[in-house]
Amino acid sequence: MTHLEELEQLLTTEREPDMIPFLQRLTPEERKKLTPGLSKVVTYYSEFIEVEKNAWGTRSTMTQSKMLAAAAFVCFEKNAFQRSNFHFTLFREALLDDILPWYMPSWFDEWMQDMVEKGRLPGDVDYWMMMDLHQRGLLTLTPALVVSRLPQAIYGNHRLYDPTAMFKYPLTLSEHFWYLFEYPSSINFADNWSNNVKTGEGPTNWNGFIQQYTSDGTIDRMRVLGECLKAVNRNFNKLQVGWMVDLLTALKPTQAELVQLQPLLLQALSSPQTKAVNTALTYLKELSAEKDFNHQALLDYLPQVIAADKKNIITTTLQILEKAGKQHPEIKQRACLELCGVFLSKDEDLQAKTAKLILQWADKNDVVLREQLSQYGSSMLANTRNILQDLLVAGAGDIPAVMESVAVEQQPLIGEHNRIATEDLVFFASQVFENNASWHFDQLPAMLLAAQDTMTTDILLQLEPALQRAATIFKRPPGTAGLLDLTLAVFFLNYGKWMADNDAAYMAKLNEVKQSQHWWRTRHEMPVLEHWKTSRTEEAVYAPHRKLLILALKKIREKDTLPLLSTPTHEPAWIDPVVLVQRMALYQAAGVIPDMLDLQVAIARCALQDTAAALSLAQQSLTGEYQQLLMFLLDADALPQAKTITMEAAWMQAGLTKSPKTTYEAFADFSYNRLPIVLLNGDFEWKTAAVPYLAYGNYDPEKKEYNRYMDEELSMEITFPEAEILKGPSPLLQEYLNGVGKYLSISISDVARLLLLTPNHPDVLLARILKSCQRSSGYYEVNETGIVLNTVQTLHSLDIPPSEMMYLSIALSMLHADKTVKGYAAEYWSSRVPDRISSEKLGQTIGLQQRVAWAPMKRFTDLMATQTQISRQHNEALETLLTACLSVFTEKPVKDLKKLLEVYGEVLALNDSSIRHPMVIQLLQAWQGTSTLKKTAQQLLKRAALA
Amino acid sequence: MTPKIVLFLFRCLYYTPRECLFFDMISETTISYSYPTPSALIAGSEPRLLLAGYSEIAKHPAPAFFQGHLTQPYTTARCLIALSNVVRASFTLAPAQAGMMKDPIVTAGAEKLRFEGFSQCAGVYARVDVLPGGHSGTFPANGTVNVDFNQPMINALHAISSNDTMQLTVNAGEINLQSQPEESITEKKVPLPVKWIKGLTTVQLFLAASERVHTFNKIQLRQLFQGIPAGAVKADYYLTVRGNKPVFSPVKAPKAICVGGIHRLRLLEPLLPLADELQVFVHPDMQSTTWQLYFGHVRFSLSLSREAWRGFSGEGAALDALIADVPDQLIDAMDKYSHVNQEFNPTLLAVEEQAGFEQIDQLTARLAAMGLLGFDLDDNLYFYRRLPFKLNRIMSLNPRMKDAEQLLAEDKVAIISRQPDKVEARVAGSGVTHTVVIAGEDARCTCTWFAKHQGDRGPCKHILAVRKKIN
Repeated sequence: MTHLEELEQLLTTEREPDMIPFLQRLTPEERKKLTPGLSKVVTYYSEFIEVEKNAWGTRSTMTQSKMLAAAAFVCFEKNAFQRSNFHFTLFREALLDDILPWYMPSWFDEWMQDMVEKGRLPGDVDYWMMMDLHQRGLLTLTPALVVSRLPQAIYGNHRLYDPTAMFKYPLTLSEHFWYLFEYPSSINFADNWSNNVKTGEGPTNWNGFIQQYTSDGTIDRMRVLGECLKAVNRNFNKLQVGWMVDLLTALKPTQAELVQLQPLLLQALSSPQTKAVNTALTYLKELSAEKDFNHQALLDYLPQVIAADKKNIITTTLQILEKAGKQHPEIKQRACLELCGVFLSKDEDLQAKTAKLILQWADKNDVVLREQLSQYGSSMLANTRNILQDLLVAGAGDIPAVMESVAVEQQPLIGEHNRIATEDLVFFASQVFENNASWHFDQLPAMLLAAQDTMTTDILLQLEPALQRAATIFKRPPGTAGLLDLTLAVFFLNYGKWMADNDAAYMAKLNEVKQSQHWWRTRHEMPVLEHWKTSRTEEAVYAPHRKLLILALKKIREKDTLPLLSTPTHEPAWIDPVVLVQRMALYQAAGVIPDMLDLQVAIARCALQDTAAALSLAQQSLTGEYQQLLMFLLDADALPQAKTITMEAAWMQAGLTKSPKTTYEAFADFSYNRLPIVLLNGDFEWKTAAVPYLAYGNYDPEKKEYNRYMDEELSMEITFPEAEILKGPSPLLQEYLNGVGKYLSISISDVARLLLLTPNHPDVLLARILKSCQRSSGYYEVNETGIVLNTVQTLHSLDIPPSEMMYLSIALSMLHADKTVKGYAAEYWSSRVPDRISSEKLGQTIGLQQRVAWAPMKRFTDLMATQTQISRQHNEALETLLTACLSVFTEKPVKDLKKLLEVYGEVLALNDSSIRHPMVIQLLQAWQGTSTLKKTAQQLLKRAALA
Repeated sequence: MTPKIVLFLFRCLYYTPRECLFFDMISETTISYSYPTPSALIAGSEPRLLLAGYSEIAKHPAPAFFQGHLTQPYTTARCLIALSNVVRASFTLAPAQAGMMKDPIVTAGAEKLRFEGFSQCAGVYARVDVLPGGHSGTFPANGTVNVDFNQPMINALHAISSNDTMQLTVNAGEINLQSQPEESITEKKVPLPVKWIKGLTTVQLFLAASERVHTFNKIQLRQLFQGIPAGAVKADYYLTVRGNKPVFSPVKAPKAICVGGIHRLRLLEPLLPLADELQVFVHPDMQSTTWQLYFGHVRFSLSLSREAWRGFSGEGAALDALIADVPDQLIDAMDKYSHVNQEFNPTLLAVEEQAGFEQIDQLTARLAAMGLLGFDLDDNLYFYRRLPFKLNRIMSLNPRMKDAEQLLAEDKVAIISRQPDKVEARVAGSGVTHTVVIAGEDARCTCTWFAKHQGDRGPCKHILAVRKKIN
C-alpha cells in the first residue's frame, strides 16, 4: 500500500489517533512525494456538497478536517498550506501540540506574520498559544502579533476576567502591555466584552486592571498616563482614542502629575479626535493659573483647536486663556490675533464671548489686530460687530458690504444654448443605452423614423453594437437602468427584427453570426413591445412613453414618414412652437389625423414664450381646427374659437398647458369634466399636521404579540380625490400621470423623463412623488432620496413660474435630511431671486411645515445660515422668506425656535431692517413668556419698536 | 451593483478558507520592500528623522540622498502624517486591498525633497514638496526610493512640536541605529497593485494639463471646507465663488469647478489651520482637480480623480501618445543625462538630440508613462525622477494599448475609407463589428466604452488600433 493509499484509508475510516504516528513516520522525501496526491485529497474533501437534504457543507467531517489539517501542515509548503482550506482547523483542540515536538516547518513564523498583517490570523490562535510558541523559539512575537491577541488575553474561560494570567510571563507586562498604547488594537472592543457580573468593585476589564495595578506600583502609573496622551495622536480610530481618554480620566491624574504631563497635554491638542482635545483642555485649564504654564506652546496649538469649531472646546480654550492672561499678560496680543479664527464659527454665543475677551485685552492701536479683525468682518455676526465696534477699521464695523445682486444671465426658455443637435444615428444609437440624457428616449425613435428613406444594409450592420447593447440591457439590466431604458431596448430590438425581416441581405448577414449571445440568435426570447408585460410595465404612469414607441414602430412598419409630434427640440424637453406648427402642417398636408397622445405630449411640451413667429406661421400654413387649436395654445389671451371640436383631448391639453386653472366654456361638454379638475391641473390640497396612527408598544409575552396604542405622527398629507381615470376613449396625459399605483414604484433614473412629459406643469406627478417620498421628514432611504433629488434637479432645469406644488416640493426639499437635496433646493431659490420666485410664498410654505416642527429645525437654520450674504437682494429676499415663515407659526413655540429667531435677527441686522409684520410682532410678544425664548424675542422686539 | 458583487462583499465579512483563496488570487503582484533598517525618529534635544529607502532597481544600496535640518519641522511632520493618511485611505469598496500599507516614494535632488503617494483606490494622489528654504542640508546623491512609513515613526512624527528642531536623513541605509540594535533589516512583503504604479505614470499628464483657477487665503479656505457635506458624498459638487466667499454647491453653474467624491478633500482638513494659502488647479475637462496648500517652503498637494470610484490608473490619458514609437536611443539619452528633480526641458532635448518637436511631445508622454517624469504645478514643468520599480512592471501596464496591438495582430482592423480629413474603419469586436470614424483630433466608436465615456477617459482600444494602423 502506498503512503497515499494509507492516508486515504485513514481518512475514510476516520482513524484520527493513527494520523500523527503515520505522518511522523514519513521521511522528508516521502512527505514531499506525498504532496501532489495530498493536494487532490484536500481538494476532494474541501468540496461544497449537499451533506443532507437542504443542508450544505464541505465534504469532510470535523475529524477528517483535523486529520487533513495535520497532514497539510506537515507536507505542504507555505503557499500550498495557505491555499488549503484547513489552516483554520490547525489551531483547534491543541492539534499542534502533537506535531511540534517532532516537526516544525521553516515557513511557520513568516506565515504567521503574513496572516496577522492581512488580518486573517485564525480565531483559535490566542495570546497564550503565541507566548508558548515564542518561548519554544518557534515564533517571533512582533508588535502586530501581540496587539492582535493581547486585548482578549485578560479574560479566561467563558470570558471571565482573570487578571492573574497577566503575571504568567514577565514579558507580558514589561513589554507587550505597552504595545497596546503604540499600535492600533481592538482594546476598546475587548473591554466591553467581559461576562463578569458588574459589582461595585470597579470594572473587570483592562481599564479596571490598569487602575488596580498602577495604584500598587506594579505598573508604572506615570508612564501609563503619558502613553494615554501620546496614543491620542497616533492615528488610532475614534473608539480606541476614546478608550485611552477614558482610561486617563479614570486614573484621575493629580495636579503634580499634570504639571509633569504638560508637554504631552499640549501635544494632545493636535489630535484629530475632539474628545481627546476636550479632555486635554480640561486638564490644561487646571494648570493654566500655574506659574510654569507653557502659555507660548498653547498659543502655537491655538489655530488647530479653534479650527475644530466645537463649542465646548472653544469655551474651555477661552477660559484657559482668561486665566493664563492674568498670570502672563504678554500672551494677550498674540492670543487676540489667533482668536479671530472663532469668527468663522456660526455660533452667536461663541462669537460674543470671544469678541468680549478680545475687546478686553486688545490694544486699540494695534494695527495688525485691526487688520486681522477686518478680514473676518464678513463672517462676524451682528452682535459681534457691535461688541467690536471700536476695534474694527472704520467702515468694517458696519454691515459688511456685499454685491447688490448676483449677475445671472437670464436665458430664454429655448434658444441656441439648449438646442438639441442632430447626431449621427450610428454613434447616437450606442450612446442612448450608455450615456443618456432625458431627451434621448424621444430622439432615438424620431431619428429612426427620419432615416427610413436613407436606411441601407450597411447602416443596419453598423447599428449592430447598439442592438447588441440593447439586448444586454434587456437581459441583464444594470442598476442604473430604469424601466424606460428597458422599454427603449425592447423597442430597438423590435425595430432590428423588423428591419431584418424586411431586408434579405441584412438577414443573411445576421444568420452568419455564430455567437450564442448575439441578439439575433436570441431574438425569439425578445418580447413584442405591444404585448410585453411585467409587474411594473402595467403602471399607467409608464404608458405614455411606451405608447409613443409603439406609435413609432407602427409608422416604420407602415413606411409612414411623418414625424412624431412630441420629439423635443430643446433641452430638457421643450418643443419650439414654430417646429410644432411645421410638424402639424405636414400632417395637415398629408391628410393624416395625428395620434392623440402624441399630440397631447407635443402640446404639453410646447415652449410658450415668445410665440409671435409661431402664431404667424400657424396663420399662414394651417387651416381649420389645426389652426384654431394652435392659435388657442400659442396666444396667451385667446379663447377657443373652433366651431366644431373633433380633437377634444388636444383642446383640453392646450387649455391645461396654457392656463391650468382656467375653465373654458367651450369645453363644457367634454367628457373629461367628469374628473375632478385638480386631478388634471395638479392643484391638490395639502396639509401638514399631526395625524393619529396605531403604534407598536412593548412585546407582551403572554399574548405573544406587541401591544398597540394610538400615537401621533407629523405628516404632510395631500388629498387626492377619488375618480375613475383612464376610462374614456381618448384619455388625457394627466390621467396616465395620476396612475402611479398604491405605492409609487418608479425608478430613480425615470423620474426626470416622466416629469418632462409635462414640462410646463409637472404638478400632477410631482404631487404623487411628494406623497410617496416626502410625506414625513424621516424618509431618507436611498430610493426616496434619489427620487427627491432627481425631482428637484428636474424642476431646477425648468425655468417656469413655480406653482403651488412646486413651492411645496422646494419647501420640503429645503427641510430634507440629505444635504445635497437641501443644497439643491436652496440653489433653486437663490438662483431665482428676486423676481422669478416668491420668497414670501416659499417662506409661508416652509412655515406651515415648521410651525408643527415637521422636520428638525436645525436642518432649516443651518441652511439659512449658508444663504446669507450672497448679495443684498438675497439678504432682502431671505428676510421676506423668514418673516413669512414666522408669520404662520402659532403661539406655542416649537423646538429650536430660538435658533430660527437668532438667524432671523441676524438677517434683519444685515439688512438694517425692522419688523413690520403685525403677526410676527404679536407672536414675538407671546414667545417672550417662554423662558428659553425670552431674551431672543425681546432682542427682536427692539427692532419692532423701531418701526 | 450586480448580485455577484453583493455576494462577494457579503462573503468577505467572513474570512473562511474559501474566501482566503479568492483573496490571494486578486492581490496582483507582490513587491518585497527590503529596508536596511526601519525608519525611525530618534528623540533627543534635536530629534533625528531617519527615513529608510528601498528601490528594487538599485543594484547596490544607495547612499544617503539627503542629510540636514528641516526648517519647518512641525509643518513638515504634519504634512508627512497627512501623506501617510492618504496612502492608507481607500474610497472604493475593495476590502481585499484595504488596510494593506503602501509606502510613499521620495525623490531627492536639485535642492528639493518630494514625497508622493496614492490612496489605495488610486483616486487620490498626494505630494509633499520640501523646497529650497524648507531645509538646510546636503544632497550627497540623488534618486528616488520607496520610504518606510511604519507605525512607530508616524507615532513619533506626531510628537514633533513647533519649537523643535529636526534633522532628517533620507535613505538611512548605512546608519547604525544604536537604539535598535536587533532590528537590522526590515522586510515587508506587500501586494503592489498594478493600479498604484499605473496611477503614478498617469497622474502627471492630468497635472500638466491643469491650470490654476483659484487662490484662497486662510479665511476663505476654512470657509470653503466648512461647506463639505457629512459622510461619503455621491453627487458631484461644484466650487464657485460668491462675492468673496468660496462655496461648494450641488448645482452646476457656469465656470464652476466640478468635484466628484468631495469627501476625499477631508484628508486635507488637519493641515488647514497651518496653511497660508490654497490654490486650486483644474483639468480643462474637469477630469481632475488639484488642491495645493502652501506653508512657506513646504507644499502639500492633493489631486482628486473625477469620481471617487475612478482611479487615475484607468483613465488612459497617456494612450494617444503611445501610438507612435519613439526611438529607444532618445529614451536612453533622456535617462542618462537627466538627474533627479531636474526640470525636464523638451525643447533643449529636441535640439541636442536633433529630434522633431512632435517626437519630443510623444517622448514626454512616453517618459511619463514609463514613470520617469513627475509634474510640478507651480513651476509648470515636468521634473525627472525614476520610479523605484522594475521597468517591466511599468511597461506591462496599459492593457488598452496591448488590446489594440492584439486587434492589429489578429488583422481585425479594416480601413473603409481614407480621406485627408476623415478616416472610417471597421473593427471586429466580440460578435459585432464596430464603426470607427476619425476626423483629425475627433474620434468616435460604437463600442460600449466610447458610448459610455464619449472620449473623456481616453480612446478605446478600437480607436487606438485604427490610429496605430493609419499612423
